[in-house]
Amino acid sequence: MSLMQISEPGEAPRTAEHRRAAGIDLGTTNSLVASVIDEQAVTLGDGQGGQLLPSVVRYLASGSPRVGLTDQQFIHDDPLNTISSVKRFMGRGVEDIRKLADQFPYEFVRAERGMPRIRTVAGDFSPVEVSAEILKALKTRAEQALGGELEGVVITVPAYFDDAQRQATKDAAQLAGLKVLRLLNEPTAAAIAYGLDQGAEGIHAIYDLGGGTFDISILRFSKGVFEVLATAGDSALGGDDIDRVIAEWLLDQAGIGADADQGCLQEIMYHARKAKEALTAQDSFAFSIERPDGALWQGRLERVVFEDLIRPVIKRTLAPCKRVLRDANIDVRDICEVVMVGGSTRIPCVRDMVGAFFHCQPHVDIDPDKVVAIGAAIQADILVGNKPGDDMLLLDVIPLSLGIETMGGLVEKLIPRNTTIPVTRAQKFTTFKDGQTAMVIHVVQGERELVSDNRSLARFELQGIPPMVAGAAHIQVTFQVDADGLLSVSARELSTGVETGIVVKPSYGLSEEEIEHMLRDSLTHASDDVSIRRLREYQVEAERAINVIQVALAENGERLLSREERARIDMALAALQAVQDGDDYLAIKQAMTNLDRATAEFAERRMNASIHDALTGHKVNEFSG
Amino acid sequence: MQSPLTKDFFSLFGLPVAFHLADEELTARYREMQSAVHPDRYANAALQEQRMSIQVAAHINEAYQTLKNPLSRIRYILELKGVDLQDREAAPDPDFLMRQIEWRETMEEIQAAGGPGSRLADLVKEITAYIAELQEKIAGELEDETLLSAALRHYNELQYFYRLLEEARDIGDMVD
Repeated sequence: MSLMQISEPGEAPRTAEHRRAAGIDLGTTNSLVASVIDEQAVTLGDGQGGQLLPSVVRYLASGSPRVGLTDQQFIHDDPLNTISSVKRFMGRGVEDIRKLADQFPYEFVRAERGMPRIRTVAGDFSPVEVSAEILKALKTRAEQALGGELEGVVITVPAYFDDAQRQATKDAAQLAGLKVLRLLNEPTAAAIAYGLDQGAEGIHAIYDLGGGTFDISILRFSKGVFEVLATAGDSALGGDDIDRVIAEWLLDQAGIGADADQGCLQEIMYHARKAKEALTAQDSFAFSIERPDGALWQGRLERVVFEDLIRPVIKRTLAPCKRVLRDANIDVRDICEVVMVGGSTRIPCVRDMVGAFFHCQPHVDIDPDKVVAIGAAIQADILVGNKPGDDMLLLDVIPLSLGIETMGGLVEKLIPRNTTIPVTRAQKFTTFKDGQTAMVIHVVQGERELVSDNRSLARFELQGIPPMVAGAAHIQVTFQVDADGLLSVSARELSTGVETGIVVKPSYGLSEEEIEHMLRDSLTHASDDVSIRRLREYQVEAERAINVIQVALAENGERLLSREERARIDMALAALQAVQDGDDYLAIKQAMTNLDRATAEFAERRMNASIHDALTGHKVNEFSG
Repeated sequence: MQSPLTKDFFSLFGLPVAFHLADEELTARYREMQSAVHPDRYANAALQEQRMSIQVAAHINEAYQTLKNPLSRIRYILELKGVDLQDREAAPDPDFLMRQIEWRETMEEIQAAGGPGSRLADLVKEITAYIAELQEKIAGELEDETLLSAALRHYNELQYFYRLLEEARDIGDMVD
């Protein structure tokens, strides 16, 4: 890992300065940011003692939106402009949201393409933009606490998030001006925080019931390796659903119709949440609620009744628990411990039911609200390069199978769920018409056999296939899922070797242009200048590229490159250095592309050498160790 | 130094081509290699290295998964030895046909009875034992160039029994 240290050729690498990095838990109900300071991962507060930032954004008729309202009064007074639980809409289409819509007061607007928008006094906003506001608030908090700009962040997502939901999260980060080092699965993040803390070995189950999502992951910890064996869950099940069953009970008991106004319904939800929180410690909870007709309703919810109400919701988490054991190919007795994550696991009834299922006492002595952010911070600290020599290794999996549409609306699975990532699969296709130069590949995610029962991810339009007779062109399409769990597709015609162009039409996501557009809009609001920001970004990237190449050259340039090869790289490096401080971003971009090309062969040799050395027990960069 | 992307999966891990392999050794080497190439090691590296890291890590994952699972390991060895997997010439073993019918019937009876109980557990045990036996047979056949067609035939049978095992477990899950 000394790759990330900065050193000049010929001199021992000096200790790299501490780079500012953070872990972000972007939650349905609350969000957190954490960072490693003086070897300790800590959550960063708002300066007034608060650590949790409520994931609530209130749009105002003028001025910037306000993020993280703790006062539920706003939700009550201004329900249409106060957006909460936006994570539930990330990467979702109009159809999905229609199913959820009656649970939320907002007015949804159908956009020209997949992603719906929420209408507010300040305009229509996609869930990605709303999430970006939360991320911006966390970014500001972290930069104030750390005293400068962040170099990179790790953002956590539910393990069961599909590709569209992950991409939406990454897009939100881009809009917020954050460099994402990695999207990390929430239970895996918890495992890092927990495992490193306890030095635990063996097979663990991480049960993560958050505000709006549920994950169950089975991990094996062994000598610094965190290997996810399988993961399952429900990305639309969480504490919100518990609140809802209590709210329904309240409406029923208080004799309030479901047609009451939004403010009233929001208030009922608020009382439901309070009751849930109180009943983790008390045996009963007293309500005093003003009905729409002005009368006061008073009532009481006993813990036994509460438990009867919520048991069906918790029971829904047990089916994925069963499946995950099967997928991990282990017996419930193989599990040495169950770690509870997420605020909803504070409920004693949840702990009891989960404990009974796994035949063991759940582990609850870590703060279930903070553990995910802490794990993300530890990972961010490593990824950004603050811990050279650290040999922690994370092997995660893809949560849902990836497939393509075939004849008759059927799915052909390409990558089964719980395959370790990164993963690539190549598939051959041929043309069915003479002279055909384009074809469309529809990629879906899910376990069902019919395309219509799975989630449509995107249509990839392959263009520029050399015209040939039907069946003569052989197009090899490569599907790649990277370490963030994100899919990319490339294609090549085999007989001519022509790389075909690909146009991606995401089913529910945003196109590059849309993001660019939003970026521009958001900057106009902040009276910033797009071109200055873009130039600055390229300058930072160039700086980084120069640094990493210099380090790589110092490490094993001598060993792996001939004099001519070295000269070529040095030239490309010098060319980039010559333009990096100028104001022509296109020139910087071009020089970076050239440097990228000049170092392709070197990168491959370094990779081979590092594998070779790993197997023969030597480190690539022994001299720096 | 040969690129890891072009090596066969066995030599990638420095192991001999054979059905029997030391699981712990495979896993240990897999982890050592991933420690060197995983994208997390290159999160802050040059773009070329990031891309290369994804490719190589994915390749190592595929190699590991292929060799770890006995069914895919056999298939891979057959491919390495140039056996045409589509070759259906080989007549099925009478013993195979008999067992197939017998176990299928037992399973239908258990399912119809609604409660799998100990009969299902016994069936799973029996199939598992048979699979182990068949794999031993295949392991030997793969060592002998003249027995490769027998190996292919037994491999096809093996696939069938693994599926049967899955179905038996499905019944178990449904009743639980």
